[in-house]
Amino acid sequence: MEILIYIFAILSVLFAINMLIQKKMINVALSLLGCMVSIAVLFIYLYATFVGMLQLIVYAGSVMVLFLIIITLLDPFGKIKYTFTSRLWTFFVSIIGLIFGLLLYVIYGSEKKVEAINSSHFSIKALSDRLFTIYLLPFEVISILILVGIIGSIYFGKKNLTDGDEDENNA
Amino acid sequence: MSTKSLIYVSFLPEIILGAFALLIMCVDPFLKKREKVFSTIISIFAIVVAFISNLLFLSRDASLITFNGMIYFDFYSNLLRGLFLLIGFLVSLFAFKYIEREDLFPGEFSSLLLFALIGMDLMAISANLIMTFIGLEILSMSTYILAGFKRKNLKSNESALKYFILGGVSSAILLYGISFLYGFTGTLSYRGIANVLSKGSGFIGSPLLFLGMGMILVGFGFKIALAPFHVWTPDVYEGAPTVVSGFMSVGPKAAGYAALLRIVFQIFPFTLPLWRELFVYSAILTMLIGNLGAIIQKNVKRLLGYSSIAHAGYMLLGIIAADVMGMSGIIFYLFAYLFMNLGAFGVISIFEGKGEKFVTIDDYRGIGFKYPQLTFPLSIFLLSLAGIPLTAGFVGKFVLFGAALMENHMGLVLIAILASLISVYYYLKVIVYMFMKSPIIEGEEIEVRYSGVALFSVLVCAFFVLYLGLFPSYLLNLSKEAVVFLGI
Repeated sequence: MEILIYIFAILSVLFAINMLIQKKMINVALSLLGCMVSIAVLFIYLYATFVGMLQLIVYAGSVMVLFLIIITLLDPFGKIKYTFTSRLWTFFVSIIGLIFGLLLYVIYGSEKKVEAINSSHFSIKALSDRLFTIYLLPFEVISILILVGIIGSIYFGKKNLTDGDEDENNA
Repeated sequence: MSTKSLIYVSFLPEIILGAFALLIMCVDPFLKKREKVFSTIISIFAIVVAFISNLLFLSRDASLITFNGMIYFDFYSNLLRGLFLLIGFLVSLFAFKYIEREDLFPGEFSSLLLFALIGMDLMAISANLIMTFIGLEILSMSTYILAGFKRKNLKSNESALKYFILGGVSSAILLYGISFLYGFTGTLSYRGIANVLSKGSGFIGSPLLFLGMGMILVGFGFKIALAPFHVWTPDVYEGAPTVVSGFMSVGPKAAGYAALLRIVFQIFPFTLPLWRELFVYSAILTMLIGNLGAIIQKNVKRLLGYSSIAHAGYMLLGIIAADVMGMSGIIFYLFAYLFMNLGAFGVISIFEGKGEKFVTIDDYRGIGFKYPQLTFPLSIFLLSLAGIPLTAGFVGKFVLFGAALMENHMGLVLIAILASLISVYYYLKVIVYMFMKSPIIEGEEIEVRYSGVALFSVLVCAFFVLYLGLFPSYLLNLSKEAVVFLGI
């Protein structure tokens, strides 16, 4: 079983890199899907079954479907292609390398090691217990955030924002 | 008061704002074009009601944590909430005619403004990092949309898109930092983290903690436009609708400072020496970049964008001083900045005319004595921003610089004074253009139309700038009373 975690960890990184170097949008989306699924497997392996399933359902499932719909709407024949200049590449690789090095230094350099949290925290019962007691307010307030997002997408997405009044005048 | 009712009382203004925002969304579709003003009136009414409920239930002597350790109910919350509601009130007054002139949508504007106010409130009263983050996101999401509120204007679109992408990255960094802190301490509440950190000295020097706190600082530094995270500011202020630029220059900045003060002094009181150095460099950079950048600007909105970067730098001096005087100086300065900057943006929004045509300094030539009821208040705002005595800006700077000086930051204070001397040049330039230059073509000054509401709110701002400049002690005492709850 130990070997599985390494396989999926490496797979998730490879998919992530592939996502960056692919030229067609559909391939980028599929690589993202591969990355999400590999991470979900890692969660499940760490006994965080619920988080793993959420990752599969929400990200690999619904979010991916949205991505695919948008791609088919915007670019049905796969005409849009990305071009990466070598300067851009060096820029990205150096930034990512910098952050990665910093993280390695921080995680291995700190005296207090991060301990694994008891896996019983991850059960659905424990999760819902917390969600509806301690974290009730943030959970409810997020609805405002979503509402604001909806207002924004309607506001920017609608072609004509006219009032009934104006339509009558035009007609 | 029973604990159960206390919970609702501590959160009452936000509930009111949210309820009225929903009411606006329900009412607005049924209004005819010329009745749309009604939505703005509802939002002003909501803000007034929330302000009254905030005044009715003050918590002046005790700091309570309600909603399962999610929000603080103390005087700091009360005072900052009052500040935010004032911002909302004045912005709605300025927006009253502006929206009609630019042919925008009052319903969406008012409800988004109310939601943004809820986000700001949550940032100031939150006692838990997850709550702070959600507040920040509600505020940011509303401001992204407001920045691009002129859907058919390319500059407005550019402004919204830039703000959205950079803001998204900064939020991600902030959240990453929060997750580091959670992994390190196993809790998200301010008190919980402070408890864990106070237990062992081994915690303090840990790179993990350093990285987490650093990322949180980057996130907030973006919101309050500290250098080197300020690059978005001038472009976004220039492109956004003027009233929204005014809101963005005072609203997110005040909320960011409110949350940052809580985080720095309630979570990390022991680690402050580690951060002071970083704050000092950031403050120097911010003040110099803001003021030097503003000198060469021709567009008044861009000019005020750079000046708002500089003012974020002055306020940082209060955190560096890290005592009661410095903290209360920040809160006083936020109030002063609210009146002077919002007032200045209000006058600009009147002068620019339909379609925001007249926004360069050259357009302001020779209008000084033609519209004294607007140019004199604008001069007061600009003099106050420059820090001339008898205005609120002077008192604010005096308290902040004095606090830093008492903690032996001589060099920093010298740089701050030098920076504000530079700022006198570009603020005075606008005044000189208004009063002493004649228009490029004789008799071709801009035509100014204004409504009574806009004039009233300009005069209110001017009155408070002068009032706070002459009699600052009442507000200063309130600020001192409030910052005691930060546990300095």
